[in-house]
Amino acid sequence: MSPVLVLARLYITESMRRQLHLITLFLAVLMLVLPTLFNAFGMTGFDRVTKDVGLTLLSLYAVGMALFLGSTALPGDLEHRTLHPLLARPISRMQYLLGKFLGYLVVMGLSMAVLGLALLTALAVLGTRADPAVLIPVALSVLEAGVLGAFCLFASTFCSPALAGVLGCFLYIVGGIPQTFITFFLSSGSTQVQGAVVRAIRLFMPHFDVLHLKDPIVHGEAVPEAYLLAAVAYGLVWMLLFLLLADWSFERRDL
Amino acid sequence: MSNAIETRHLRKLYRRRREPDLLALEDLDLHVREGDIFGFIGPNGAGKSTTIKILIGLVRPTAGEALLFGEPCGTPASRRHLGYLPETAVYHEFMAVGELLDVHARLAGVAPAQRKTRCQEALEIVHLEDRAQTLLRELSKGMRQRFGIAQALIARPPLLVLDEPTSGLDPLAQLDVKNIILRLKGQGITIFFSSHQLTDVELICDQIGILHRGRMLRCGNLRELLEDSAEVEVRFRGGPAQLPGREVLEQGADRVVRLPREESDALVDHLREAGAHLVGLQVARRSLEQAFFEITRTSGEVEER
Repeated sequence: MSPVLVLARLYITESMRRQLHLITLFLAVLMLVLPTLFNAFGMTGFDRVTKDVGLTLLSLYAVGMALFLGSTALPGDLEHRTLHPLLARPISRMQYLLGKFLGYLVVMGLSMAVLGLALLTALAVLGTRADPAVLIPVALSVLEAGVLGAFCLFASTFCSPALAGVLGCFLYIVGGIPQTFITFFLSSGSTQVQGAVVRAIRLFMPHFDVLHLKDPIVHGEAVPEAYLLAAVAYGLVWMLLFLLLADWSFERRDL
Repeated sequence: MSNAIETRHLRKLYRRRREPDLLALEDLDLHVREGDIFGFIGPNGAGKSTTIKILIGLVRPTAGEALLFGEPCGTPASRRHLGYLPETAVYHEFMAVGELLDVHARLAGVAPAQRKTRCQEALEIVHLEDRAQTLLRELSKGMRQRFGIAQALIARPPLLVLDEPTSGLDPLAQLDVKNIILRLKGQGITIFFSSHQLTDVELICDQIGILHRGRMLRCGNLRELLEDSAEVEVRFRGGPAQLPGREVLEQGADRVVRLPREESDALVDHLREAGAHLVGLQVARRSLEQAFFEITRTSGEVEER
């Protein structure tokens, strides 16, 4: 087994045994399933509301966990000095980061799978036909958590976990502003300088709105396959870029 | 015999934002021969841990080079040759002893067929064979330190780097660790360790380096370090029972005076004139502790001047 896989497995095992992740997952499942109880009141179109609220909850869970896990994974190991004996092995720092990140992705993927299933179950209880398309935004939330987690990991190589989390939050909020908003802002009385600043900021950060497909799915609109592939490739490129930056920064750091 | 560790003109300057930069190491030349036990001693902040971290690759030197068996430090290839016990050994507390040891075996590249045997063997060396299923957080500090040595030994490395292996342990646990080190010495493993326990260093080490404020003040075997004393001991019979400005100790029929080397000729002349019979003149034997204090104090005074 390659060192990356060994370290990923170590991360997953630790994460499961610490139980913090399991508890938050349990609470998220509870919040997803609880709305089904409200259907007893017979609200019309409640399945759509459940879908909407459920997918929003899933996305928030993914973002929250990405900010927390991404910004604390490396500083936690540094603070507890658990990484010293590991880095004394014949492995590179890049392998260490990749192992940690892969473990994080698997944990996020599994959690989101559980939440996705819980959502489908909730919808089934409401009598809605199981629509696998619901899983598209779930999968894209994992990708989004991957990009955000990679950024937080990068930020945590040069700043405190709290600051890394704040920077991640900023990236997510600014990067998540829909392109239509930006276009509207740029065309409605913004000065040239303001326009240039906005374009420059947007150029150097991922556009998370590309990965937000909740609304069309909730409203039953079809998402072109080509768009999906392009969105996945887009997310993967940003993830890779942040991981490379994390390695570049981590390699230079004295531990 | 070739060198397991070699550093040339090693320098480390920590750049700091709010405080003045810290020079942790300056022009450090170190040669540790294969099979030796090298004790690295010095006060807190002397640069011992920085040196060790450079050898492991956790810290990058500002200048100079460090080699492990000829490989530049900091590369995965150089780390194939070593096992490392960190100063404050903290491990993944939710993992079981055997489980985490297996992780280390995998990372160290131990072949799958040998992994189980190696884990068992390492646990036996540190007497933790019955603790394989115990979670690390349930181990005592001494046991955790022994686990640390087990993980360092997992790939049967020719070099062990131990950063204060007995620090914070009770006397029994210290004795355990010391005995393990002595047993490993018998197997021909090169051991490089830093310590504040000077009596242990004196007992165990073939070579000793004294580091102070980032500079190597003395390096050599115990005899060289202890004989390099600034004092001599003059032993005589008869003659004066008291000497001005000197303490004369009665040892049986002999009288003994300790004094700086450069003053010994004058004292001998004086004793002969006073009718004393000279029994012996030798370099005063010191403990490593005395030598350490003397060397570091002298260095501090020189620097302050």
